[in-house]
Amino acid sequence: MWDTKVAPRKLKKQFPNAVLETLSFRGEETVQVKREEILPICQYLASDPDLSFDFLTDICGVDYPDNEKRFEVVYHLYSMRRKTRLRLKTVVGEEESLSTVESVWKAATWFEREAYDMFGLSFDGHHDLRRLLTWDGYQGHPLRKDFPVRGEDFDRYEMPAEPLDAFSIMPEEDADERQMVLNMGPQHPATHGVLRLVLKLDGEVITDAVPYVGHLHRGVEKLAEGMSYTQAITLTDRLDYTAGICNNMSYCLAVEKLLDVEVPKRAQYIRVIMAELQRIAAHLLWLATHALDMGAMTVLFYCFRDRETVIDILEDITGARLTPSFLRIGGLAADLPEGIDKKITAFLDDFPRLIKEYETLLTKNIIWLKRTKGVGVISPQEAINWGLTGPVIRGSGVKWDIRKAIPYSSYDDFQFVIPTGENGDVYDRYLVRLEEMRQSARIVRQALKKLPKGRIRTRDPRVTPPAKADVEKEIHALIRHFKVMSEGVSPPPGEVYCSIENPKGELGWYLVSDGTSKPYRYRVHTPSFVNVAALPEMIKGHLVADVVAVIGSIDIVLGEIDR
Amino acid sequence: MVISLLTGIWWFIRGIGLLVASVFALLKGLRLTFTKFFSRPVTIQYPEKKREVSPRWRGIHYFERDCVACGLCVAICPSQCIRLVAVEQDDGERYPETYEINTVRCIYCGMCAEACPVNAIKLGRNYEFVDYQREALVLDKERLLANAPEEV
Ligand code: SF4
Ligand code: SF4
Repeated sequence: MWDTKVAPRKLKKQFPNAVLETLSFRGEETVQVKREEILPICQYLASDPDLSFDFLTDICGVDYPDNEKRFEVVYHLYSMRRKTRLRLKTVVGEEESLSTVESVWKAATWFEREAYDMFGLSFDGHHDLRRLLTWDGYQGHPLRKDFPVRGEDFDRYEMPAEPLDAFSIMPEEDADERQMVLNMGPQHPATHGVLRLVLKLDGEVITDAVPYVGHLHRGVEKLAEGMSYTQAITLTDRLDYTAGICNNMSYCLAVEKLLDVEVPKRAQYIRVIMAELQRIAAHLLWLATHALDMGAMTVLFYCFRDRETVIDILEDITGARLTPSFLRIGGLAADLPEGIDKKITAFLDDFPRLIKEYETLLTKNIIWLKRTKGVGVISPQEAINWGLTGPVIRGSGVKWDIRKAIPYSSYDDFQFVIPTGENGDVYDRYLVRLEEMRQSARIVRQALKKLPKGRIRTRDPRVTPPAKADVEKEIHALIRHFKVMSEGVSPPPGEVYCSIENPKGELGWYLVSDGTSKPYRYRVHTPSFVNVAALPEMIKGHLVADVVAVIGSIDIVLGEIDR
Repeated sequence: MVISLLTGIWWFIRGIGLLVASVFALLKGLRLTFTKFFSRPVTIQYPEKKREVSPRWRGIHYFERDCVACGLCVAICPSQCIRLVAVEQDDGERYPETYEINTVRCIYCGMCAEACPVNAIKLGRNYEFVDYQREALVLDKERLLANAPEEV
């Protein structure tokens, strides 16, 4: 493994005046830099052939109202070549601004817009600094600490007399006779949720497109700041609601990293089993809706029929179908129920036949081929620059899967391959996902076979309450039960970023702890968010009908885009 | 002349080949859907027939035994939908004067059942729970006790 300390060291040598501080916590490197130098530093990090931090994972703000300079802007970088992360931080005052890094990574565009929206940070040179999740004309910046959480704390909200119009960013002047602006969504069935797309058309060819998100914004990041770490698990199910277990897992891993607790092997394996089953379920839902969007209704019925089997299994384990909230910090809420392995094996035995059914209907179908081949192409370089993740980036041929790159939860114990595409079009993403389902089935089989015996929750008394039977008998168990249940966990002050490979791509949590039982900052990096940002790039030059194909192929869930 | 004729024929054969291949692929799909005609439906006619839910199902709450008004479920509930007024009797025993679960706000996470030290509050297997008024969906003590499944 590459030494993670190299990047901070090189940075310090290159920019002796701009690097203020370097620190490492839980194996993560953080470099605090001067605000004025952020652009050259990013350029250097991205272009230096030895470091090549070519992938921007996330940009977010953190608010410290008591500090002299109030905001901290946090950049999470990843190097495809070195398979390491680096965190850059810089402080910004309320009246100050910092330079955009759009020119280095296109992925920054939406992250900076979000930071502008949520914190009021301003980025010099940004080509399109508008609100993203709230609407134009909204008052205030929700993630600032002094912004109220509950409805009753608000002053009355007045709609601006003349709400800014979405079409205003497409000025009238350059719309010649041939051009037409078409509004697609937010109630369009094929946009997979409340995504609104403003398309600029020349005939039926798309010349420009602007996605509008945020219709489903619930302020998850803000809500979590008022909840305990354990309570906040329930928020995670509601992000990507097609993959609840995976979301639980990502968040729990982040808190466990913050606390530095080890999860027992058995719990890790069960997590893997459930996460992979959930991946199959999520991909089946994707295939169902994607095929339906393009007119193949039969596939929808078959996929839903089979997804039902998987959801049944998950229901038997967790007790809920969509929102399991089943993982706990340091383990699981309960062990596997009796006889579930037979159910799972029966499904796995049948699954290859089922995949073949979908393939019979689609893979060589001339209509399917015509609709998907060569549509929505994105090159590997562009995909990395846009920060795309999951099957979308793999469809472009980038062999990048967090399960392999930074293994978590014992994924290195299992054998599986990462499927990749060649052309980066809708068809390749389809093939990649089909193969991923087969690989997931393979992983589940291995994990079931090797499933060790033992505890399902860590022994650490800070996080695990005593067994219920002891609570009724022993007074110290009762006291500890009360403490764990009422106060929850209080990780030491620090910050971590931890991510997993969700069905849709990299889902990560950036958690900042101030030592209390509530997260100081609960930042979610969601795969659909980055993937939808690149949507205009993929649909330009195509027909309106192809928009539906491309949206389906990047498999967005608005619940996690809008949070 | 000859060459262009040959390429013409080549393109013609290729076109026929492609046509046959794609028609064949379509027919294979049709055959699959056709065989499904004769398989049993997987759907259930819901209100008449009901689906058996898992034993761990997290549905409407019930009281399995008397609550001791410790307040742990209130503390852990992520959606803050439990209202508890605890009183102490003359003999020092605590009991809930009011205990209400607003099942409209509840997200059925099951954390209250996990937190309850005496296993009083539980989540049952009933998922059919509708009304025309929201007030009717706030469960009080009596209704929680009445909700307990018979077999227990
Ligand atoms: S199930 Fe969850 S949300 Fe509902 S009352 Fe219990 S703790 Fe609260
Ligand atoms: S239901 Fe259980 S946890 Fe809630 S107050 Fe009563 S005894 Fe305590």
